[in-house]
Amino acid sequence: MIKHSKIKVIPLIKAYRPKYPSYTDPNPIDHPDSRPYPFTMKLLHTLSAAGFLGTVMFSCGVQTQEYKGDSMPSVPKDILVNPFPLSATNLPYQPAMFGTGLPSRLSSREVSDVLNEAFTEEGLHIVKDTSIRIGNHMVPVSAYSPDTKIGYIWMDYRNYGDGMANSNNSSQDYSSKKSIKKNLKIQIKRLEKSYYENPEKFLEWQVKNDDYAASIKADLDVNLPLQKAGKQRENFIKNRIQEFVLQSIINQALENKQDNFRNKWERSAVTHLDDKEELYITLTQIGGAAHLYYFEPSDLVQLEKTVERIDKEKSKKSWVKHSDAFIELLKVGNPNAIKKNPEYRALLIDIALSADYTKWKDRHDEILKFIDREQISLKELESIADNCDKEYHVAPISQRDARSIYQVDYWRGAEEIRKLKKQRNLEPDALKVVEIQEKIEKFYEREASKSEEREKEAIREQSLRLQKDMKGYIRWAKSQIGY
Amino acid sequence: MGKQVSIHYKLSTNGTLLTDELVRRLLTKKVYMSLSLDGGPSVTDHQRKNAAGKGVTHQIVKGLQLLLKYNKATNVTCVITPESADRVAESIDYIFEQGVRFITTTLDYSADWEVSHFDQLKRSYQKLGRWYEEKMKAGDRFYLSFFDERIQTRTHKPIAKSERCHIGQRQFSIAPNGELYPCIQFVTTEGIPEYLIGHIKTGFDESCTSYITNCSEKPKAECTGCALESRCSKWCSCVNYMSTGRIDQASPIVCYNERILMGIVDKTADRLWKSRNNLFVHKHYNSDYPVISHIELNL
Repeated sequence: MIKHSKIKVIPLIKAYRPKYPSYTDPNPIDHPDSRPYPFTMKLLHTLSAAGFLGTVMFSCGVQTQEYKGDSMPSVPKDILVNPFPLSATNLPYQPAMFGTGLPSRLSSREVSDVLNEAFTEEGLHIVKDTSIRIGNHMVPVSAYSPDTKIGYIWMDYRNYGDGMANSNNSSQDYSSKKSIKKNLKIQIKRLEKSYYENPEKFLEWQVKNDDYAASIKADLDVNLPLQKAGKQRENFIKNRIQEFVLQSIINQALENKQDNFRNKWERSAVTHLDDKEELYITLTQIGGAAHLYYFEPSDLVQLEKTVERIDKEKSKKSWVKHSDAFIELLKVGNPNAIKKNPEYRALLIDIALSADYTKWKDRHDEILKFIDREQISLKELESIADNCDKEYHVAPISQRDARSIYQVDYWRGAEEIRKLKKQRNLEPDALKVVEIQEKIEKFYEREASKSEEREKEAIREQSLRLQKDMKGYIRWAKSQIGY
Repeated sequence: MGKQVSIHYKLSTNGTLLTDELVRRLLTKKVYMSLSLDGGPSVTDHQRKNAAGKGVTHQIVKGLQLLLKYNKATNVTCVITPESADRVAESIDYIFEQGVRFITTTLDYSADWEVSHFDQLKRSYQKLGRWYEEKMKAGDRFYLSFFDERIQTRTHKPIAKSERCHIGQRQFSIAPNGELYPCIQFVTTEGIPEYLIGHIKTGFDESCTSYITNCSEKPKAECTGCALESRCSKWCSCVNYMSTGRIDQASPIVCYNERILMGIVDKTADRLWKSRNNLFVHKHYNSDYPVISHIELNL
């Protein structure tokens, strides 16, 4: 009756992991983008004729959730969707100066613990601050679960790499000699134009802002009337303005008496280069490359040694070569944001202290590799977000994401203070005035202590909101890999 | 007993003896009829012959049309044998073309399956996966157990113990001589005393039914560590019995079949999900789908 099979039961150790949602995932029918049931035309015609199409359609279990939008979208809890798409990063961003009404944004220090908690709560073990390989690049990730390949990367000014910031000047390299020369010409033309528009105002303004301009003004006052109208006069004005521009930067370098590697280097340039235009270009380059505030005092001492070696160059040619090599070294990969990193600085100083500057260039790759590991470029970000085959799921969370903005409750005591002040101003009794004044001061003190609490609370609230989305991301990622 | 429990009657038939009047009478008695058709003439005629040794596909299809006339949701059971393993997709397509929209596929667990047959099955399933995808994209409403059951083990959940057939507990079969067996597979002319759970005259032997339940629910040691353990149908005692002679031992045929089929089904479902096939989403995630699709089918 029963034939003895030649085949045996063999447990399957590794099975294909499907990506379509499982019963543990949020139901895709509840997704706001889910489409209504695809009724057959036959049914629609029948129901329309019967006049209760609406009734059945509402009973078919397709509920479109209305998004109650606010400025900081948050993904509803039970919806299977990626809460951190590339578009939410708002990258590349337009840099803006601080103090221009920019909103407060969460920092990695404030969110990392809260976001990492999401992984623990979703049962994932994570490795913090690591890096993963994407193609030929190492991409830094803030937390990563090696088992599920799910993680996130928090991006802010510290790891924004190439292409992350939009710049109007992005098409021009202001560190190259050629572009500095070109800009110098533009600047001189602009000043000339300004002079012709209103000579008095121009000179007055320049004199106000620069002592050196006073000598130019004196020269113009005395000698300009002596020039023949036309080309000679025009050339005289042009030369004075050029001289003013070139000399200003030289004067600035000479007047600065600080003893740091940058000023020493600038002074060395003034002594080694006699051509004013060449000096202008070099000083501009040095200013662009040597940002003091990135370095620790001990680093500055080390870098001074390099400048001392440059200063000892005997010929102008060798000085220029040595100095150019140092400018290049300081600007490899435009790593301004990374200069706070002690490892980077150690590597840079190690190279700068190696005696043979002609070989510095050979070690630029070491810096570039370091930057690649520590920073994320726009291209890398796009490849993370566009990981169609879902080899890994790393949520790109940017500080430019609207959800990183937190709003501290406005101070609501203005009305009360106004009343107290009015009361104080109308009070004839001096003793009572003092009493009211004390009340006002206490009120301010109390509010000041509250504002710190309010900010902490706002940060906490917003971080938890991000945490909720992080959990949503983990669940979404799990569904993609069939975890 | 009729007053205490609700009984649903099911009739499996090859339909060769069905007449219009018989179908109507059975329907008034609320007997649910399922038809066996293994595919087109080249498959069915080879597997199902009449007493004269001739193929009966023509007669089965005639009976099928009768059933479909009264019930458009008639289920057809398609049995796959080692001989028909290379034509599964063609067989399903033939049945579908007859107007059938509920197709239950099953393997002949009593046959002598070999590894080479499963190689053929794999190719057939891949073809069937593409067929399933095409039909879904075309918006056809249908149920194909091999695919839909497996997708449901992921989208709904693995079949819980409480939802299984519970042989001898919630389901039993009556032999022509009045003997009661836990499932149709145990009803044979020889009689198998071990699985005889009672008689219509004397009722159920409780000790026997609970013994069978215990045996069937026992974890299968041979399946330990299997990645598909929660999704495969190793729990079906009658299938286990047919292929191993024991109800507490997993069937190697089930094992091979699930290992081949599950991946193909999941990849097919993934493709449909990736393209956000609307019918796929509603079929597997909209709890109202069975009702709506049934209304649509019967219009």
